[in-house]
Amino acid sequence: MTSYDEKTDEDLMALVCSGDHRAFSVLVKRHTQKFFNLAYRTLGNEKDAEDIVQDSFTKVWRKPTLYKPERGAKFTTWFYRIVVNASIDLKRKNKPVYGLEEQMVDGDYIRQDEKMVVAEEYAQLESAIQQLPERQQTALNLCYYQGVAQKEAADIMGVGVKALESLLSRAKASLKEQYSNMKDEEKQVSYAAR
Amino acid sequence: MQQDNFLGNRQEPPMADKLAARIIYETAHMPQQKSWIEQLKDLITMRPAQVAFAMLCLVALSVIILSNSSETSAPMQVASMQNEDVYEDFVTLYEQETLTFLVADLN
Repeated sequence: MTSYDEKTDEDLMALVCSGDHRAFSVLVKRHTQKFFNLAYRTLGNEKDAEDIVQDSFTKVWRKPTLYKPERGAKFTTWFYRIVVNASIDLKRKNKPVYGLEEQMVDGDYIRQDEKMVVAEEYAQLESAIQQLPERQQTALNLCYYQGVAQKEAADIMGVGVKALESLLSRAKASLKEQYSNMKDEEKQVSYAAR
Repeated sequence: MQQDNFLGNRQEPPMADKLAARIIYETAHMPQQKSWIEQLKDLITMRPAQVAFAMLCLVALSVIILSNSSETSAPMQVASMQNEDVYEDFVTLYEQETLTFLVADLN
C-alpha cells in the first residue's frame, strides 16, 4: 500500500487541486465501481452509466476547485450528488432503455432455462423500481444498494432525514405490494399450467 | 449492498474495472482549468522577476497619469481662474486710475 492509498479522499482532492494526477488516479480506482453502481441502478444501462461516471470524474480533474471542502461536505457526498443529478438529467432526456427488461423479453422464449427465470425475477423487481417516483428510486438506490448512511443520503438528496425516511417507507410499501402481486400472478399461472 | 428481503433480488451491476482505467488514461494528459487568480499565482511562481518588473512599470505609469491629471485643470476651475484674473486686472486698473486722478488733484 502506497502513501497515496492511505490518504483520505479530501487529502487526495487537495493534491488534485495542485495538479497531482496520481492522487486523482487513486480516487478514481477507489470510487469508480461505487459511483458506477449508482448510475447503473438509476439508468439501467451500462453504457450510459459509464458515460456519466467518466464525465463526472473528468469534470473533477479539469476543475477540482469546484469541490469546496470548507463547506463541510465529504468528497463522496459531493460526488454522489453530481452523479445522481447527472443520471437523473440523462434519464429525463433519454427514453429509458433497460437492459434487464430486454432480458425479460428474451426470457419469454426460453422459459425452461432456470437462469432466465431468475433474470425474469430480477427484471420484474427492476421494472417495479423503475416505476417508482424519481426521488423514491434515488433514496432506495442510495440507502439499500449503495449502503450510504441515511444522514449522508439525505445530504446528497438535499432533504432532511425525516423526509428521506418517508421516501424510503413509501418506496418499500409500494414495491412490497407490487412484488407480492407479481408473486400471486406467478402462482396462479403455475396452478393453471398443472 | 444486498438485502435479505425481496429488495435483494436485484441483479448486481457489471464490473467497472476497465472504466477506471479508461478515466485515468484519458485524463493523464488533459490540462486542468484554472481561475485567473490561480493563473496569476502560477505566473508569479514561474517568473517572479518579470512579474515584479511589470508591476513596477504599472505603478510608475499610474503615478505619472495621476500626477498629470492633478495638474490638469477642470473646466470649472479654468473658468473661475479666468474670472479671478479679470477681476484682479480690473482692480489693478481701478487702483492705477484712482492713483492717476489723485496725483492730478495734488498737482
